[in-house]
Amino acid sequence: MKSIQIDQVKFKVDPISDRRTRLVKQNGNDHTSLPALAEYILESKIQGVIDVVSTNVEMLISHTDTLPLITKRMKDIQMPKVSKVSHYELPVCFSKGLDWDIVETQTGLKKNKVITMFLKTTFKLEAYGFLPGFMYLTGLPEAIQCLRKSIPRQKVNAGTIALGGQYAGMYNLESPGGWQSIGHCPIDVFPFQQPSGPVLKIADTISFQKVSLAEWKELDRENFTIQDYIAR
Amino acid sequence: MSYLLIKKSGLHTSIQDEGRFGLAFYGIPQSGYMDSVSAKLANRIVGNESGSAVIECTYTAPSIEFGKNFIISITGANMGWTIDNNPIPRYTSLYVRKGSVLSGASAREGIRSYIAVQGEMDLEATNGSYSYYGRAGMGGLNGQLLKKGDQIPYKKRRSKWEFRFVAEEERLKLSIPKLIPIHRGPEWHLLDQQSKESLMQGAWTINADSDRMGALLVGRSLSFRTSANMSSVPVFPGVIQAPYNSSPIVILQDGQTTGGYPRIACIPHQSLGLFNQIRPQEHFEFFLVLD
Repeated sequence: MKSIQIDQVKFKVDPISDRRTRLVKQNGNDHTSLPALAEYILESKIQGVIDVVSTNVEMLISHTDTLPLITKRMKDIQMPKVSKVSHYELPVCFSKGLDWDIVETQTGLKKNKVITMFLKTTFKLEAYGFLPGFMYLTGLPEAIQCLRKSIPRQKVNAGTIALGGQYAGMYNLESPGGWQSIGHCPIDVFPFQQPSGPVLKIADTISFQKVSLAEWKELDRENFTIQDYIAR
Repeated sequence: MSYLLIKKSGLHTSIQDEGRFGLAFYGIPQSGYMDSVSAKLANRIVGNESGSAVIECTYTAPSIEFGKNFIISITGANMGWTIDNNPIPRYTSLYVRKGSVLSGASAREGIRSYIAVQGEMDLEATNGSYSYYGRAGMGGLNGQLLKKGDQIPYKKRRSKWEFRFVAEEERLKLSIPKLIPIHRGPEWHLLDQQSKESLMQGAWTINADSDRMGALLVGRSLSFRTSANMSSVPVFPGVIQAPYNSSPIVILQDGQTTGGYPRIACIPHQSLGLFNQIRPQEHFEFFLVLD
């Protein structure tokens, strides 16, 4: 199987289907975040590349041109050494959490203690994925990590903030939820309809601000987006 | 007026084009025609560009009134189509008069039918596509399925009549037992020998609960040489995932973009249309294409 090196990361190249190619990360270069590299490839708008999906171990490139042409064009990609990282503060209402009983049992900590630790944390957006706009956030202290549900809750609201294994996560669409819900963010963090794409980029940092139920109600308006929140 | 009026919705009727690209990274699926072979033929017959938006009908036909004279074509499943109660052929260009009504019944062979109208829908695309994706309210008419009373506007343009027809050989063959080609997937090697063979030996069916996100396969359970936990990996329409001790699932057009189950095989893009025409309870078989 062929291999390719992109920005010092070595990949095995596997054409999995017509027009779809897997790039599988090889061992020995654990410092580069694959989703960050994938986002950079996507934003570089390489001719013939129409979609990029990435997890921690593998990227999938969908392309319209032949694979040799695509690999040739991707070889020269170089991520900027210092990438611009933005910090965002997002409101969260903890009384909207649905799984506090489970979280208290699993962590052995009282709700207030979990909230304090959660609010002290600076999270990093590691990846989008699985469902539209779902955000995987790293940095969750081990003491407040929880197991995923064995049977997902049938429905969680868009804006739900939840804990799943080593991650905190945010649902941007109403969907079934397998993570432990601890609160709700009333603003639209990923306005799908906007052509400019998502505001939060991979590796951006996020911390949460606690809001009361009254403040939550004030913010929970239709089409109230993250840009509106920042500008208010 | 330059529009189509939906008089009856049918079971699951939506606007679809080639799909939405560049957003899978954010978990937003491609969507688009479930059977791109038939949809593209419909566009070709009326002289539209290949990836133009069409009306995708599932299981049951809608009823549509034409607001002016239009040139249309119908491809895919046979839904017993009529115009003003007169039977009409599929796979040919048709000149329909203002006020006439297109109707049909349940699909007889296949499950998806495509209606192409010459010209361009006068709608706003969501993220570069007209394709309806219900979960995020994208595309379609105001992010929804077509329903009674909806009007689909078309950009004003003079119709250009030309008789066009697609020969039998070029159409998908929906009346005969279906053989679906598959390639080995990245985790094919995790299947035990017996399961590798059993995938290709004997019939499968598709569970009736399947939708545009995925098709649940009913037949045999597959077993693995190892039950090691997998990291989450990218998936796309056509990938066959096999959860441990459960039925295999084919990821379809509105499906998730990453998954944590072995990707045992993959239906090639050009054969996914035929797969998506398989009816619930209909028997079909897979055959392995070696790459």
